[in-house]
Amino acid sequence: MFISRLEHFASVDSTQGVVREWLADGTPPVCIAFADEQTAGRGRLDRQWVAPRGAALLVSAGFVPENLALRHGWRLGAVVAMAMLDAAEDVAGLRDEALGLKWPNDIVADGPDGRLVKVAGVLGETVAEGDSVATAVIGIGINADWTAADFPPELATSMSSLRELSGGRPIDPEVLLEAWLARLEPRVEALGSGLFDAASWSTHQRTTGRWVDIELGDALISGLAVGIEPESGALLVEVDGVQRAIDSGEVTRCRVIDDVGRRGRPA
Amino acid sequence: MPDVPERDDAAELIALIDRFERLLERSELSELEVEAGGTMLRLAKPSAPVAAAPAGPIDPPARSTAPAPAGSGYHDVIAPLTGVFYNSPSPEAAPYLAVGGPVRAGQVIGLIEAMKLFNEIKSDVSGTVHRIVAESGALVKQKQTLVEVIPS
Repeated sequence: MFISRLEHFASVDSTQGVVREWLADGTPPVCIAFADEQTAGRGRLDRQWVAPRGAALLVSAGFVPENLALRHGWRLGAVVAMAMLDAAEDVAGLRDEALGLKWPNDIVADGPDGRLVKVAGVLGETVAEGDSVATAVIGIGINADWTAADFPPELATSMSSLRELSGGRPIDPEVLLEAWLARLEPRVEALGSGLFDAASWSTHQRTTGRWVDIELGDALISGLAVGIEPESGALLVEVDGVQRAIDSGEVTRCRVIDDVGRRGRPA
Repeated sequence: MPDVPERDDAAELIALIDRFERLLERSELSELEVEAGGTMLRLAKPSAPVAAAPAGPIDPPARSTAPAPAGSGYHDVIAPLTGVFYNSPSPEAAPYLAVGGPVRAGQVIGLIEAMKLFNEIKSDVSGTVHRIVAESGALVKQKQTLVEVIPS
């Protein structure tokens, strides 16, 4: 069985915390917790993830990889995101490639003004044993049945949902969950055999070809995203004519080239 | 966008460190030290007794990050991958370690974030924390010393 445990919570502090405890208690992989509402959902660095009850599918998956190098741990996040991207396009009836990735694994769509709007976010945590991943919990929150009228005003121009992208079609989070699990299994099994579809992950990156700002610890880096380094997953960014491989941090701004010109920094 | 000089400086410095690191790797040198203006940068190969030092004014020195000299009896807990180091599970939480406090083998000493994956890093030795070398929120390189421990 691919799934050892699957539990639904109407409301829970954090699905990440639930799965972390399951793994610590010896629950075998792959264990899945999903919720209609999280009261203490964690985003990156504890930023709050707030969605009205039932508007988003909030799910965490626990893995115990047998042979996954710590430097490749990010691939679990990538397969979780790619499986959800495929499932979301099918369940919402979207055209192929309606959705893409913002490096590394946020799911995005093209907004009305050419900007990218966020549909889902992925966040992961691992317990490292030496140079390997001992356990990993990957969480994904996807805006499923969320209507634009209910978007928080401060996020309304930078987010969307499957319901909005499909022209108002109701999205059942549990149908989306089943579709995701069906697409996750072969990808996780392939990863266990050392196979990762870096080409597909790379071609889905909408960050490539755009001007990006990246928060890297206390530093901010601005440059032109020119591609992905498939082995490390690093974002290749051209900064003042020098190409750098960025493998940490958060893309905080992402602008189309036409807005800024191909030469030089945006104003 | 508005300029944020401190952040731009930090980004340029990280790019500079990357460039010098590649230069050092290709050379037969064991250590590379560069001074420019008020900034000093010192890089060393893993076998050498000095790890990457953060930038800071030379006088007074902001902080020394050189690990203990060989034979000092300290055990270095090493970063297993490159990423941003955090010394606590969340910004509001207490740090994992305190200087002078105990640490045991298998205990989490910090997080390293890479590719939006927060990796819990464990100590490989028990003892007393002598120094926390890595700065929370700053980039650490693979094989860089995170913490110095006096083994028990």
